[in-house]
Amino acid sequence: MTLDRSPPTLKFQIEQSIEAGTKFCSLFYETYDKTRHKIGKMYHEAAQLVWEGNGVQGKESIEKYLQDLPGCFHIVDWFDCQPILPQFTNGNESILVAVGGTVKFDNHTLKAFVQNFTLTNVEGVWKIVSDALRLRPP
Amino acid sequence: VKFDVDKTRLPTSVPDFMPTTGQDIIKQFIQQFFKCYDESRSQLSEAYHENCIFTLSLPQSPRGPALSHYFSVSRNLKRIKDTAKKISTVTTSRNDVISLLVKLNGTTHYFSSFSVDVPLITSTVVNFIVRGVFKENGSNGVLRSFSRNFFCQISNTSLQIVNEQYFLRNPTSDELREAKTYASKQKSSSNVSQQSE
Repeated sequence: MTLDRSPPTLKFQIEQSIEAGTKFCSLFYETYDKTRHKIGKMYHEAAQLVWEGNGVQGKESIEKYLQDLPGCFHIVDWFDCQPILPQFTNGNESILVAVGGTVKFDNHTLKAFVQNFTLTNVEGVWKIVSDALRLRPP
Repeated sequence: VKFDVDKTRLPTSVPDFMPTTGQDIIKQFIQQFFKCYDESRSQLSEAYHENCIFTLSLPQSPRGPALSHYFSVSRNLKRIKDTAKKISTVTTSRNDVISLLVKLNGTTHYFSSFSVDVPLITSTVVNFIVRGVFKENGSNGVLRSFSRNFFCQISNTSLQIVNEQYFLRNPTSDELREAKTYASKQKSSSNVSQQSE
């Protein structure tokens, strides 16, 4: 396949993105559903949230915005992760995570969601730099 | 005594999230990219960086017309348990991305169905997600919905795709209903462009 003639570092970066992205997916939705007051910690200070086309800038504002949403329960159907090569991000380690599934908000009908994240490694801790969510009827 | 228990409302949906700066370059890229994707996909090389990374994902249990045509290249990390397959389903160079894309069904995208979110833009990179509906070419003309996440490098006034995550599914009943109006709009707009030529 493609990877045989690519430098070994790319394979390592893909493996790292899979490991980080897989852990992120389970931690993010568990925190979102069960202990949402803690979710702000997962965002970078300068993060951008786009919730159904509504922009929210900065960790504190995002924390408040998400706290004000009704209680919910997510079921993840699929997810995918990729590394962004450091040559494009001033040498920072970054990954893209795409997730899809269904979400049930209290007093609302079941909705399907697709969510796209960019994460960056800040001193060994992965932080959400951008988070774009879209909902629709399933 | 009041209790703030009215946390039942969801924010109203907004069709697009676009920055004022850089909006034109993004819109222009999307127009050109999908036109080329529909009409001459093998010519898309310039749109992709030589070290680009590409993946395609499908829902776990799709309803509606079979998506089996896409199964061989699809990557769902929730479903794949084999480490080697988790890696082999990532396409990692411009040439390999183009050879993969040309193998996929021919398409006609409905531009009026598109909506775009731009969650991240700096002076050097931009991340945007394009969602919409397309028709597969051929006698049965099956409709599909897509969400394509692009991470691009900005060089001068053009964009080059560094990463792409392509998600494909069957449309909802609302999307199928709306697609009829898209199809007629598309037809009338292509007539207009033919007349002006």
